[in-house]
Amino acid sequence: MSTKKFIRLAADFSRYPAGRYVKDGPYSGERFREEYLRPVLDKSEQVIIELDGTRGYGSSFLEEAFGGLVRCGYSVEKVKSAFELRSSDSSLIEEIMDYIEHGSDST
Amino acid sequence: MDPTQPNSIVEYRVDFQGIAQIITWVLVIIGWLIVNSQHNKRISRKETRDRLDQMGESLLKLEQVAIEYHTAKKRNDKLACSIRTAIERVSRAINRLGLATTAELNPKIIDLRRAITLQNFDSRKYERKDPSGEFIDRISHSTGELIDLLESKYLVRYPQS
Repeated sequence: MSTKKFIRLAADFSRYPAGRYVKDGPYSGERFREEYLRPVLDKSEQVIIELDGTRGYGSSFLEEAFGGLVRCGYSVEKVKSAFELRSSDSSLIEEIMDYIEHGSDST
Repeated sequence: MDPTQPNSIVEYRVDFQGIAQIITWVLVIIGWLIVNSQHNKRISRKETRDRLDQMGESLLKLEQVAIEYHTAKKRNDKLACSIRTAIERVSRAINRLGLATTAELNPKIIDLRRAITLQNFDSRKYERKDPSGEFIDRISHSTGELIDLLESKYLVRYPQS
């Protein structure tokens, strides 16, 4: 039986995720997507992403990290099945799912 | 003569007095329960009102700081960090108020976060926004929408306030 891997965003990436593109800052949504999310999809793995523990999120980070996956060519179904999101703030999960399902159109 | 039966008018009067006393005590207890319940409701309403007022102040402060960020000449990373933290705190505190369901609150919270942090935020291409323009208006509008939702839910829960 395989157990799901965890990505604890605050511990594994940064407590201060910010910005959309790499040029915007060191812990941007683009960097998180490229270094943590795309490898999961490319290996067809399933991962739990723990969102708690950071000093908050900007929508630009969330949109680029998760909505950007669909723009990169991954299907909505593949993205949704690969990642299980966990947060004590359900609005974060709802917002991310909206970006995955509708991309920037949802804004 | 049956010893269990009252044998005089005096004994009947004593029985009636006993029943009257019991009824009096029952009425006193019911009255106390009603008064106590109303007192508890008043306290609960006042506590919720106080917490709602604090939440309103926090939201208006967040709006003010967000407008300050977007109308400043330069990108301010320190202010951006405090805004992200404030949005997260407000989001959690609003849910703790318990006035509205997450299904009702989340769209408004998401609208507010998007209005402040989706565009022109933490961005190298930061540009100063017109204080009277559409961008700033959206921040004020989404703040107002969230406050309106909470106030309307408060009035539903405490209709006489």
